[in-house]
Amino acid sequence: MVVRWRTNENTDSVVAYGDDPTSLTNVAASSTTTGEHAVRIDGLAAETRYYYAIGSSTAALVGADDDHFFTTAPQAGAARPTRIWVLGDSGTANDNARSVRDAYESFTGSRGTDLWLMLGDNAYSDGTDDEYQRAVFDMYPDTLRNAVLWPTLGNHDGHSADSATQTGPYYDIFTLPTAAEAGGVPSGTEAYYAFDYANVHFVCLDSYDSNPDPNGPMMTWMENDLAATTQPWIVAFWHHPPYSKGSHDSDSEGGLEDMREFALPILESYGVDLVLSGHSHSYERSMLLNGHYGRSGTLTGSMMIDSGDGREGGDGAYLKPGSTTEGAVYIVAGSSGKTSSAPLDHPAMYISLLELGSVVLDVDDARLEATFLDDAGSERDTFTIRKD
Amino acid sequence: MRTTWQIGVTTFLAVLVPASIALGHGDVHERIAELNEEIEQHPSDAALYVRRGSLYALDESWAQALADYESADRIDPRLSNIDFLKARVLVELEENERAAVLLDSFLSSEPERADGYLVRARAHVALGQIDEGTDDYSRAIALFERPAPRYYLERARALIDAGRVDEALAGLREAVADLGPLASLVELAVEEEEKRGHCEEALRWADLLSPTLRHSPRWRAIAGNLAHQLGQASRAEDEYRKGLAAIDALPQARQGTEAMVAMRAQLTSRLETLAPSLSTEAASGFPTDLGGQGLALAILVALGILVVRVRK
Repeated sequence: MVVRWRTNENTDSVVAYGDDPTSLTNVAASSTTTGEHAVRIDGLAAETRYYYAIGSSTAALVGADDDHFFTTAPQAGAARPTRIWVLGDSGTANDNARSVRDAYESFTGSRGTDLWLMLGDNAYSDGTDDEYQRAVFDMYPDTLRNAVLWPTLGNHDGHSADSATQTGPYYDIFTLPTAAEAGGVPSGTEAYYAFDYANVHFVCLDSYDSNPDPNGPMMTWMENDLAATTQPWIVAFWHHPPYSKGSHDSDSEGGLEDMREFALPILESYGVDLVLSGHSHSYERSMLLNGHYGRSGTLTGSMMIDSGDGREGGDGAYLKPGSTTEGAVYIVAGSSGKTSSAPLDHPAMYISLLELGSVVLDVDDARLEATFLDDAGSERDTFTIRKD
Repeated sequence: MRTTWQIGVTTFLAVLVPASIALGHGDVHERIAELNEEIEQHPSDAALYVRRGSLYALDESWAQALADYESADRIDPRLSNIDFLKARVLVELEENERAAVLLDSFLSSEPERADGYLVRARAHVALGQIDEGTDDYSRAIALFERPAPRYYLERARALIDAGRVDEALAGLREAVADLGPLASLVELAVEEEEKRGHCEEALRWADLLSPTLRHSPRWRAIAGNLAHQLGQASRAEDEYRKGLAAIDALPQARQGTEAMVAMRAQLTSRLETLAPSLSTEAASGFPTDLGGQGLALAILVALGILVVRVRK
């Protein structure tokens, strides 16, 4: 676990932690004098809530109370109920983002969040430090305190960040795995990475600023990572959607086409279950698909493994038992900060909505439930994938 | 002292990410449209052309980007970064000689600019100037605080394409030392060692991988194939069997994937191919399929026994 904070005066860094907020008996520290504090805590037990306080060797800053805690991840492979909050293009720092946040916080209540994903364009318009301050740190202070945030780079974040050098605010702000610190296979870069949480393997790609060629380092890494994972569930995420007829068109924009043509065949051959993207400012959710790597007009019936709604109260959940592993659901969830009008008529989509909102994923053993929660707190779409 | 997240944008961004100079709001095309109007009102403002050029570059509209950078340069020849921006676009336009000339000038005044060396490396390699190109890659790698795997790979591929495999492999060794045994680095090294028949070296590269990856069915298969080429049937069999066991140990959801079904078929087929070699190997006590190499090994062992006996 890495705890990060910033101070307006340079000091050393101390995190005190323990299982009782009134008695934080363990300490992790760095003697480096800095205003950008990042303290890595090793030797933590899995699935354990730790309370913490941050500060320096001379003064505590904040914490040692019921609000400052984190819960460590379960062992990789352990089936545990897991709630994942997914935000896409949330970086507007305005009332839209606030209403989406409030709707989720009301929805999840005391259940809380195990981990959360940001699908890129996390801070408009250019991903500057100041924009990150307003769009992320001022916007989600409670969730940031308690749950690990896993981001991917959007095109707007990429205006001020460079994946090749891993520099710029996006790379300065986040500490992301390069050496498989949280599971998976080492990528050697923060631009793309993998991690495990319970029985889910997450793969994060950089669709904006890393070479998407099939023989390039990112795809080579991904294939090796997927070949090595033993996790039952695979969730992949990146910014540019492989299928969209939202404010971006996957039939005519190179970045989107590249990811569809290069990433999807690898992911699908290894049985990816869910792919999350943003970029288009809408919610678009596919049927259970396999093998659709061309433009929208090339979609055929055989590529639709299940064209139903995926709802247990409707056409039935999407089924992927061990004997049948084909099929993934593709979600564009780029409406957490704004909506932009568009045709929304991609034939791969079961449902397309021009509504503000976020996605909530609940994974429990052999079952994954997804919900699109709008900014008023209404559940506007749900589906289930089952592997039992 | 109090916690604060309120720190302004640091100036280094403008230096390290020149393409992103003061971009405004909205998507690229909207922003270009906004700049069109601004340029119409202020046609002598060089910064506006640089901004629009950077947007065109983001949009991969290279010719328009170059035109804007050249306009900016004409208006204000003192713009420090403009040669670099122009060169980067020229490389995309495959005008590599012009790019290299501009970068020579740029780097003479800014010798610490890693991205300048990187772009010039690409220009040199495209021009077939491999020594100059690899030198520039190496300079860039040394200057980047956190060099990406792709730079090492680009340098290695340039050397491989030029037939300089030993140097490419040395560069990959440097990459592994710097970044760790990443799959992309090791995979290229294994491919090249295998191509030139150095399968033992290829196996040594494979053994650098993290256990998670090395013990995956994919790398068991690769290692088995290499051992088979070395005539080490038992070693190959061991790798293939462990690969199959690794598949069997996967959750059902993973075992049934297209990739794992294909991998199982490959490993099974390889084992079947090995069977005759294994029975011969078991009968002789020596690895088979070695040809002259196998015979030489057998003679050497026999000589060893003879020497021991003579000394007794």
